[in-house]
Amino acid sequence: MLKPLWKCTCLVTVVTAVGWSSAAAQKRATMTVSVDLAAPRYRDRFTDRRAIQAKAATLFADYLTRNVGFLRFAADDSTRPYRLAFVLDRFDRGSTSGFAEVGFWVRLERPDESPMESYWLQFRSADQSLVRVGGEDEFLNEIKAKLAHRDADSLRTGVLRWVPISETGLPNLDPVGFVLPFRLLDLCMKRQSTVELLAEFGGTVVREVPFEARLVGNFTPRGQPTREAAPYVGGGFAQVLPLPQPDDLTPSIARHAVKIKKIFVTSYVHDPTACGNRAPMAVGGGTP
Amino acid sequence: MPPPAVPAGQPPLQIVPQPPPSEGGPFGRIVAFFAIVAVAALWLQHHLGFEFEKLGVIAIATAIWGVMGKVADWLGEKSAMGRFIDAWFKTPLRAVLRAMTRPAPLYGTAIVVGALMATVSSVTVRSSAPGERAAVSLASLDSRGTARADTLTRDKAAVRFLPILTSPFGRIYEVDADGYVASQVTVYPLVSRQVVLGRDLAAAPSVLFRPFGEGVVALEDSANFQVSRLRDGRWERLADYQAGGVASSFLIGARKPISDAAMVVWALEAAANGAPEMARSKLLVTWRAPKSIQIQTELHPRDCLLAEIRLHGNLKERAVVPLSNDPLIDVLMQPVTTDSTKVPTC
Repeated sequence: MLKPLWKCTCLVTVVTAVGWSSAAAQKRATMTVSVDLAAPRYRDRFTDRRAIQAKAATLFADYLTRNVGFLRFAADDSTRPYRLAFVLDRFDRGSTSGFAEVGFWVRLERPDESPMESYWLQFRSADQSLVRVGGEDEFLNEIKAKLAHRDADSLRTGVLRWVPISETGLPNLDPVGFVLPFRLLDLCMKRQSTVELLAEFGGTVVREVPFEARLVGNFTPRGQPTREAAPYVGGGFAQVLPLPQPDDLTPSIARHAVKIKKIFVTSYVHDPTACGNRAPMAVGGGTP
Repeated sequence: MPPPAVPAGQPPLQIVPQPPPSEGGPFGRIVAFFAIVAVAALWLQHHLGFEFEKLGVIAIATAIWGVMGKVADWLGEKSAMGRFIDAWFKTPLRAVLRAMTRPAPLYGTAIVVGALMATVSSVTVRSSAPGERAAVSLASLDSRGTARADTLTRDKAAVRFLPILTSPFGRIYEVDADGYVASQVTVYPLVSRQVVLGRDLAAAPSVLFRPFGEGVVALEDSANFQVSRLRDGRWERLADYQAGGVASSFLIGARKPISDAAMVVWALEAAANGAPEMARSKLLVTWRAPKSIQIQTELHPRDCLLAEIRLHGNLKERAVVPLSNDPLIDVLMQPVTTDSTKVPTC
C-alpha cells in the first residue's frame, strides 16, 4: 500500500520539478536599450558623448527592468535583434527655435519592420529652455528624477507590445488557449493581462492568425503531462476569449495543427511585488 | 690893422655840416624791439597760455625787494644785493640797451622770433565730456619718432603738446585717444591746432553682442566667446573669452549706456523669436549686464567683426557685423543652422 503511494509522490515531485525547471528556465526576450543625444545642445555639451549615452542607457535599462517584467533589457548590446532607442530631441523636430521643449523620443527598431517612434518623456519644457545642461552627474541625475516620476504604461502598451516575448507556446484544447513558456511571477504579470498570439495553422494552406487571450492562471495539467507539455508546466495560461467564429481553432488544436509563432503582451497588469526583489542593475559605475 | 682871423699857428675854423641822423634812430629801434617782443609774447600766449597778468606776483615781490635796496641806499648802506645787481644786471642791461640802439640785434631778434613763429606750433586736445579720462597721443606722420603721449583726467581737461615742429605750409600729425578713432590733423604755424574729442575725433564704435537661447545655455555650460576682425581678407582674432559658466552679453569698446527703449525693443525681439516669458526675462537680465571684453586695438567704422560662441569647439551661435558710425552697435547673435564651416563675410 505504501509502495504505490511512495511511487505516486515521487512521480508528482519529479513532474513538478521538471515543470518548474522548464518554465523557469525559459528566458524572456532581451532588448537592447540605447540613448542618443540628438538635440545639439546636449550633443555638444559632453566631450565624451558615447560614454554619457551609455550611462544614460543603463539608467533606462534599469527603469525598464523595474517596470516591464515581460522583457529583459540590456544597455547597448548590439547583438540583439530588437532595439529600443531613447532619443533626446526637440518635441517639435521641425522647429529651429532655441526655446523648444526637449524630451525623449522612443524608437523601436525591429528586424524586417520599419522602426516606430513616439514622443515619450518631457525632459525640459520651453520655459526651462534657458537652463544650463550642466555636468555629467547633473544630467544623469536629472534623467533619474524624470524616470522616477514617469509611468511606463504608455511604453508597455504603445511600444513594447510590438516586441514578441516568445516564439514558442503550447496550444491547449480544454480550455482553448495557450501556455506561455514563463511563469507569471517571472513576468511580474498579474492575471487579467492580455496577450496576442500569432498562431500558424497547418493544413493545405498555412495561415498565420492572431488571437487575443487573457491570462487566467498557471498551467497545471491534470494527470501526467505529455512530453510536449512537460516544459510548460507552471507557465502562464492564456485563454482565448472570445473564440473566433466560425471556430477553426479548436479542431486545429485537436489535430495538433497549430503552432505558436509569436506572443505579444497587449495589456500588462503589472505586479510590482513580484518584481520588487529583482536586483537593480548597476548605474554609472555605482550601485543604486 | 684888422685883427687876425685866427691865432697864429692855428688852422682857420671851418663850418662842417652836421651829419644826417641815422634812419629810425635809437628810440625807433627800441620801439621796434618792444613790438617784436610784444608779438612774441602774443605768440607764446597763444601756444602756451602765457599771460602777463600771471607775472603780477613776481613783479610785486621784485618791487618790494627793490624798495628794500633803496632804503638801504638812503641809509648809506650799500647792500650786497645792490652790488650784485650793479655787477650782474645793470651793467649787462646797460650793454643790452646800448646794443639795442644798433640795427643788427634788432634784425637778429626779428629773424629769430620770425623763424620760431614759422616753425613751431602747438596742439591742444580737449574732451567734450567733462571729467573724461583718456590717454592721448600725437605722432608725426612723416617722421619715425615715438609718439608723444599725455592723459586727460578729471583735473586736467586739456592736454597741450608743445613744441610741435611744423612748416609755413603745415605738417600732418595723427592724434589718437582711447575710445576714439585716430585722426590726422594739419598743424600750421602761428595758430595752434585745437582738437576736441568727440567732435574732431569720432568716438570709436562699441559693439554689444547679445547671445540668444543656444548661446546663453552654452555660455552657462562654459562655452567660449570669440571675436575676430576681417583684415586684408583674413580673420584676425581680437578676443577669446572663457565665460566660466556665466552667461552675459559682451561689449567690445567703450562702455555706452543702454537705454530703456533698447530694453523694450529687446523684449519684443525675444518674443518675436518665440522665447516664452521665463526665457524672455532671463534673456533681458543677461543682456542688461554686458561683460566688457578688452581688445588690444581700436575698432573703426567699416570694420567687419565676427563673433562666435563655441562649446567644446562646436559652433553654437554666430554674428557677423559691419561697423557703422553709430556709437553703439547692438547685435543679436543667432544659432547656426547652415554649414558652420562656411564663415560669412560682411
